[in-house]
Amino acid sequence: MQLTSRKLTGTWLLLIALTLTSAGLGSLELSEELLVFLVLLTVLIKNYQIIDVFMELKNAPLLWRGLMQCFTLFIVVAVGVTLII
Amino acid sequence: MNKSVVGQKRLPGDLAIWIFILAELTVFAALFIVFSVSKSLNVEMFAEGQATLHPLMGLINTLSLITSSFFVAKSVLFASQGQLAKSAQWVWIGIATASIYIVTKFIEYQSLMALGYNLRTNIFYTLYFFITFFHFMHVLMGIVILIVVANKARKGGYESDITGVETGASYWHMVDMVWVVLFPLIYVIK
Repeated sequence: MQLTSRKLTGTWLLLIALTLTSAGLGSLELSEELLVFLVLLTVLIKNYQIIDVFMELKNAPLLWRGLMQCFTLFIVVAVGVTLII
Repeated sequence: MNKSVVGQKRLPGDLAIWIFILAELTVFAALFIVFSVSKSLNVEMFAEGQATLHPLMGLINTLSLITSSFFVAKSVLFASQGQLAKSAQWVWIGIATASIYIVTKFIEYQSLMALGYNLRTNIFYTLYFFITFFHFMHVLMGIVILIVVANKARKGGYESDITGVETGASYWHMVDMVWVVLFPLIYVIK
């Protein structure tokens, strides 16, 4: 994938939308488990977008893209597990 | 990056910055886990502490850093097309956007301290001030790096190799990634 200005703008708009969604979730009457799950899901999607598009790791060697994605997943799962348990 | 290798599988920026980014993420991961565990062990204290924070400022900071990251990503795109003057301009716009975060964070710190909250108040405020200030220092360092990149780009310093632009931008995106986790952890999940 060759990076384009359009792709960058689309990613930025998605990140803004997910941020507003995540902030809005905090004001809803959701169970703690559901809130943690949904909010951390937005975090995972946002960081994967930053890794692939803004950092341009989508076209990087698998090792580096995988390391960054695994690290993000680890942080989200670790935080989620410690908050819920 | 040599412009002739666009399209090939390659790691943007300097290899060293990616090792540094992974090391930084490890430190932040440990801090996030400490915050989460402490929150689970002190539910009421953290709920009371989080109620004194300013979610709108947290949201403004998130939008500021994401937008700044977007502008810096645009600067890399222009640099890869050989448009170095435009690249420098977008880095400066990215820095200006990030300054919203700095002003907002100062206001938030000042209002909390005016109410008597500080690092020694309780474990919530210790972690809140420590983690957010640690991140704040990374934002300042990122801005210094971006200023160096913008100045060099303006002088045409990346004509044959934009590795420096990509390296600075990668660090900046890492700072953004960390805040993407911090914002919901501290402001949204109560």
